Amino acid sequence: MLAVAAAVAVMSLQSCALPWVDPVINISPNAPTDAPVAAILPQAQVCIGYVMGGDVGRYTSLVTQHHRGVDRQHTNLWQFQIQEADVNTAWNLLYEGSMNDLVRIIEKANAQNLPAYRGIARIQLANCLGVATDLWNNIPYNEAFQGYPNTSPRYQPQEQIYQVVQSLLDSAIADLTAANPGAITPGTQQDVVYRGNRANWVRAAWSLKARYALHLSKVNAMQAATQALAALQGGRGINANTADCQVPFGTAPTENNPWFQFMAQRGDIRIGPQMTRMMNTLNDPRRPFYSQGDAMLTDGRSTLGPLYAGPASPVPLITFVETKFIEAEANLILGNQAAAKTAFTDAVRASLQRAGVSDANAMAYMAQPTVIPEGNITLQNIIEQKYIALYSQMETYNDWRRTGFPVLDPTQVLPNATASQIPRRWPYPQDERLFNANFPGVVEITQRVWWDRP
Amino acid sequence: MKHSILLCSSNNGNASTLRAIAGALVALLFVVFSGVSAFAQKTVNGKVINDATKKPMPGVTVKVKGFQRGTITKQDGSYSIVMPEGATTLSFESIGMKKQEIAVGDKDNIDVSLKEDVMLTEEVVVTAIGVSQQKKSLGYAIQEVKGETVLQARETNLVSALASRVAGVQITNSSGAAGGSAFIQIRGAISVTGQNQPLFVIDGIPIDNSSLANGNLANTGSVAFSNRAVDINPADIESMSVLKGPAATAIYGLQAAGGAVVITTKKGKEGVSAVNINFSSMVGVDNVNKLPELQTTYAQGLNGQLGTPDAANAALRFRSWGPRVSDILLVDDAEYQANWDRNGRPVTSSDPRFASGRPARVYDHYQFFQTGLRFENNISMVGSNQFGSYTVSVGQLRQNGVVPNNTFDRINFRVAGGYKVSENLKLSGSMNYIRSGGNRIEQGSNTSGVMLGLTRTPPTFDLTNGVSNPTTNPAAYRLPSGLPRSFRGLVQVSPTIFTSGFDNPYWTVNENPLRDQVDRLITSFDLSWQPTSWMDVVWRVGRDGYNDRRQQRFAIGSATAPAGRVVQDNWNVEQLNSDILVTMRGDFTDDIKAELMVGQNAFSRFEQNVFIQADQLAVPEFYSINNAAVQVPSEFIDRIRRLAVFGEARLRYKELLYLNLRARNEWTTVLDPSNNSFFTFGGDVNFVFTELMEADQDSFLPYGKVRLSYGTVGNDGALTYAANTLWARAAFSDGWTGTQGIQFPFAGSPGFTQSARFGNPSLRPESGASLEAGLDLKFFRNRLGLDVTYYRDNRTNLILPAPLARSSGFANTVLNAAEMTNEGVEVILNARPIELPEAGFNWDISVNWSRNVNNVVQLAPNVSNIFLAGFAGTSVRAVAGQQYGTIFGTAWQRTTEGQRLIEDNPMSPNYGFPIITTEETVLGRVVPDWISGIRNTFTFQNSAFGMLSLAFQIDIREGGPLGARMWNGTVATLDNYGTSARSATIRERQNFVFDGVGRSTATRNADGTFSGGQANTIAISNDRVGNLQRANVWQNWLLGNGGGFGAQSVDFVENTSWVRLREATLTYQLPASTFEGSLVKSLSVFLAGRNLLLFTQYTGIDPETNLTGATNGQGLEYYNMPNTRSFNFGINVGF
Repeated sequence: MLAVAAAVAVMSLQSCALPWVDPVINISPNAPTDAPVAAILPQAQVCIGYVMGGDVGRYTSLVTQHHRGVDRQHTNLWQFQIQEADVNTAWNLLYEGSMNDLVRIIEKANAQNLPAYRGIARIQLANCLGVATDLWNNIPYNEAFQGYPNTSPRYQPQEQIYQVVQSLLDSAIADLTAANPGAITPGTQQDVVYRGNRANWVRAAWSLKARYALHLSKVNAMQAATQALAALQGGRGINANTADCQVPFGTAPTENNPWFQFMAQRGDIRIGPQMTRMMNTLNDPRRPFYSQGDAMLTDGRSTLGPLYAGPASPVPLITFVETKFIEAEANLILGNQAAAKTAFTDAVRASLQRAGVSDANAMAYMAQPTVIPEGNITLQNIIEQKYIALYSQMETYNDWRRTGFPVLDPTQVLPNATASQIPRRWPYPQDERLFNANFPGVVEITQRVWWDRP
Repeated sequence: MKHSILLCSSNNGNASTLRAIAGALVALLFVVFSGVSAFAQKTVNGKVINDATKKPMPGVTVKVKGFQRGTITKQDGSYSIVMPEGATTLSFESIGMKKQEIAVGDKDNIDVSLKEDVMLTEEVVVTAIGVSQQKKSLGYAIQEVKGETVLQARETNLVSALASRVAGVQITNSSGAAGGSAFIQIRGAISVTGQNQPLFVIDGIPIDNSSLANGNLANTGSVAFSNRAVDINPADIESMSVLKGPAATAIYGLQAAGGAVVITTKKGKEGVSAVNINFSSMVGVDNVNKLPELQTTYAQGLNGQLGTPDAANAALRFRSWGPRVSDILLVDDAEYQANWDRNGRPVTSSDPRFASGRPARVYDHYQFFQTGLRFENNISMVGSNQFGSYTVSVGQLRQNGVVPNNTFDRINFRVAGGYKVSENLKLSGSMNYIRSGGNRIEQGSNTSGVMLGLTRTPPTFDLTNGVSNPTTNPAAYRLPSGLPRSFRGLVQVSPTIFTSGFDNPYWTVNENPLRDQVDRLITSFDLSWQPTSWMDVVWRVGRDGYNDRRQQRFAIGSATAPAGRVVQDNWNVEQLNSDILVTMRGDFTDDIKAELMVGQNAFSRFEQNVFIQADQLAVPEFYSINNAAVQVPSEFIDRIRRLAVFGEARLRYKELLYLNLRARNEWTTVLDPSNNSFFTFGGDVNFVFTELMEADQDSFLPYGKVRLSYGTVGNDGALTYAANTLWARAAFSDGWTGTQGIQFPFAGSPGFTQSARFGNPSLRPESGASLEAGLDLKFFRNRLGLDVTYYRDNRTNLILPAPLARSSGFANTVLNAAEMTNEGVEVILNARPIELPEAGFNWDISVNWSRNVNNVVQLAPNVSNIFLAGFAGTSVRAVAGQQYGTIFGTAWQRTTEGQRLIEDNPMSPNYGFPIITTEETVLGRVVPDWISGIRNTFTFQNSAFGMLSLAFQIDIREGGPLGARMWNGTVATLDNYGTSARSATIRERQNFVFDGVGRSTATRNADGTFSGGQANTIAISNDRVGNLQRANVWQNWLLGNGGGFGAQSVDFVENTSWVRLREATLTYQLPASTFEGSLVKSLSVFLAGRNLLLFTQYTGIDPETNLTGATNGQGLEYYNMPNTRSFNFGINVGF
């Protein structure tokens, strides 16, 4: 009798479970299951700026001696000790923080026919892939961004990634010049980089095409230069400092520039030996802007300044200045000395203007033959000025690997160090080694990426 | 009966279900009152005496067998009870006495003499859902800790009070901070990233024991928050039962996947007319018990050059690698003294003022710590009569920590009562209001953390600036300009913002407090009804709700937030629980008896966090989110509901064999409706073999039983909202800017990012099974007792957020993938080596020993290790094939024979030093090999003297070759700073040769490993390595890989094995004769020491601490707040 009663009781209670255990309870009240492209784009853009002005910019600037690590972990990073766990964050912010969202924007834009959004997303995706492959050589792309169960994307050769970068930029240019930009287009609030100016995006795309073409200068110099100039023909790259492709930051602490945040929170780097020596030798008028107002820089003591590390300083992705340096170098490779010199002079002048140097000081600086030689200019002239102009930017690390300029003195870092100890790439991140079944294997940071021919 | 209680409404939602339950209750009441009727009755009178002393026994329970009718004997041992129609037998029970049953027949007067139950065979323990059962009937391990033992630990946090007292239970305090949390784990880890701590239940109501934290407060920095069991007043506790395995906790289902701690509070004993008032008061003093040793030989500086905070060369002032203190003098320098140090400016002989200098000093930074004080007052009134009982208690605790301005306060107000409506209906309820909270101090990996700022400061920098009252005098920590004063000076990061790098600890305790206040109400209502003599119905409903309001402040100039910050962090938690239990009894024969319990449980939990971070203060020293330039609010809500039905059948054959079978089905909202039902079952058998031997109390082995239990377990992982890939409001930082970073909206633009968690709609219940076998033996009239338990527990399909390679676009996805086992042995030994009844002296020993071996069998596809807590470079992880909780980091490269490889290329900058590996590996495990607690109690008692007892508890933790390890990140990085004591020794090393073999002498194998090699002979001295002249070799070694910011962490993983005197208590109770005729009935005083002695080779603070508090990431020390030892004095008066 008891058993029957119990059985009936249990069965009647089973039906009670349904209303109390209501599936609605497990629908998140905190986060939606979808978001519109307009709400996604700003985050992807700021994230790129944050990683370029954060771990990517900071670690590469230690290698190029733009900066010196003066304390704690940054002393070790500075002394050529970049460990697998150190680069997790940069990889994560690029793959999960930026690129994954850009891929979703492209998917949504395909479904909703929004070429303008798609074009911007493609340009920024190409930029991220370019940054990632220059740091890590072979990286995943075709099999990436798929979530579970495709959790072990295969790594593709850098050569293929470079093709992807160029083709993304080509299709982006088509998207952004299409007659119908889509039912909705990014405006001031949705596109924090160019505030909806699609013409500027097209310019940035051409400049990026030129940058990634020229990166292959060690693979095939003539072809690299030709393609770079082709991208910039007719001045269709970025054509003014005011059209720079850069991520803005704000004065509010939650919107601050990443360099500024690092200096306020940790402060473990200072302006480094190479930068100090070059700027002091040339009596460079940009020094007070690059530092906290120092007329003379002191290695290991001068602190980062307002131009790149102010609370609201923008982080450049690609600029007019860089475009002009690319034009100069490509022309030089092709033997067009006059065009090279013109572009070079434009580049230096634009950099001085961008920094806020007065015209008089700029003229005086440029009049120095150590800056702009009276006769022919050399690759070293170009890259060394580019090194100063693109202070704090990762591109100078690519330039050093491509051209060997400026010549970095490893004994500034360690007394007995040799040039062969200077890192030529980053280790793969620890998380990839641990969780990707198709991980290609541990690499030494003195190994070279595909385009960095010995 | 079933129609009334088991009906339910088909409506949706919480309210409707409660309505259904209420409806059922009304129906029940109707039946109760209509069902009370009169029968022919007779009255039995009599008297109960103690068989040994022949004295009358008050308080003996007299029950009519088979009926819910009973009474209690009066002060003179007399009783009077009405026998209902059909009643035949009376039973007489009293704790510590053998139960007697007497057939009434036609007698009207029955006198009884009760014998002492030496074997404690009638011992009753509280089991799951507050059901009291005879311990001998249980087929699983359960260990009870009496309230007075809990109290004797003199811990603010009742979790800490269990330390070393229960076999198989491991406790770790987060720190000695007032209000800090304690972590408890029973029989090892059972979840990878979820709940590994047991369920806490008070009087049948599950209560919340979370340690909630969010945003920048959840990181490795911030403050030590409480676990919410801290709200329970130890003085209110009658007993605590620790339910260890799934057999014991099966009735609790999912919530108790990690065991349960069942707390019974003090209550009046219904039936006795009495009022007892008890007052107790305690004062305690706390001191820091262990600190890392600091050097006092070398001054601030680098490369042997002196650094001062005002120097332009920042690199010189960051460290303590300067000249010998004996080589510097203090000179007068008005500007320097006005700003940086009133004691004078330190100079070396190169300074022209050197000749007029006075000797420099070293300062003892540890004078920062103060004597902590604790005041505790409790008053309780317990009253009862034949209709019911009531309890009112008020408790108050005030604790001032060893860190200045660290406080914790707790007020408990509790009312409980029961009322006997009729012979078969009883109502009871309780209400416990708690207000707790305090002023908490920044700690850990946090540039405002106290230990960080304190121990990194060079010995030659006076943190107090020569003032006598640095805790209250801003001159110690503020420059005349208003900016912070610290040894690192100031770095300008913008025209208006300067940072000092680390905060002076005196600045931290004054300018960066975190205040929290919890208002909590735990209420319960019980109805217990006996519709017939063979059936009990209990309905118990309870609510635990609290609001936790926190405000964190950072003054303008603080290292953590130079622009100033205020954080408002509010938590709202509410748990509802309802249990309906129907118990039916039947005797098949005189020898075979049965009980069947069926029940239903409904549970819901709601948690809401509203977090507002407001930055850049406009008006200095004014802390409101209204005063900030930017405010970023965020909100998080977590909801879970579960419902269960369960049954337990208890069969008993004589006193010989007990069989219990149980089953439970549970539904949860955490999983998809198609997969959200769990069925678990189990049983235990208990064989008292001494019954067959007809052993009596005086035989060698008077009592012995073997027990065996088996049970399946389930769990839902409690990971809500995991089915879908969501879109989250964007926020990111890079680990260096962890407390800041970017948060959307950004310049007015909203920003959403695809959640880092990839959704998985096909999660199903976790499953598992546990087997337990035990042996209980009692020898020599219970002078010696041994209780041995072996268990093996296997959990599969464990739900975990499995990390993904980020190239997949996601950080993790929730999977049913992991498998973990725990296997262990627990031994409890109780002995009374000396018993002198004539002298009134006893010596009791109680020993517990336990060993648990966990194995993370697998984690997830492609995932063999998972981060639990820590840093890039050193972390605590779950690693497949290892025990849960391993320290993961970089080690030295070793040959296959285990020798370190030493760089022997003379051109290498590392010439003569060991070589590190590039990949991180397992460096040790956090859990010990075994733990043990040994308690000795000496009692001397006689009627003229009163009672004097001395108890001391020894706590042993043994790590073995790889266990009980902890990462000593504090001393590791102090090596780098040059402030650790050993950094002074290391820098003086001459001709030091690292153990190992020269790299070029070893053979490189095909797989990349090395073998063989010749012993390294490269001698290293300061300024010279082999043929190379290099300055400051040892400084550079510790600034590099030899120190805590270097690329290896294996040297800093230390053994925490310990022996500690956890407690010593001396109690004196005045003899009863003192109080004859007075209002006072009893008085006792005690002197108690806590954590008095610690023996360990660990070089940091007391290793019984953890950076991330009561979380799964145990085993990390990084500038944790130190632990304390205390002396307590108290008085206890009964009226």
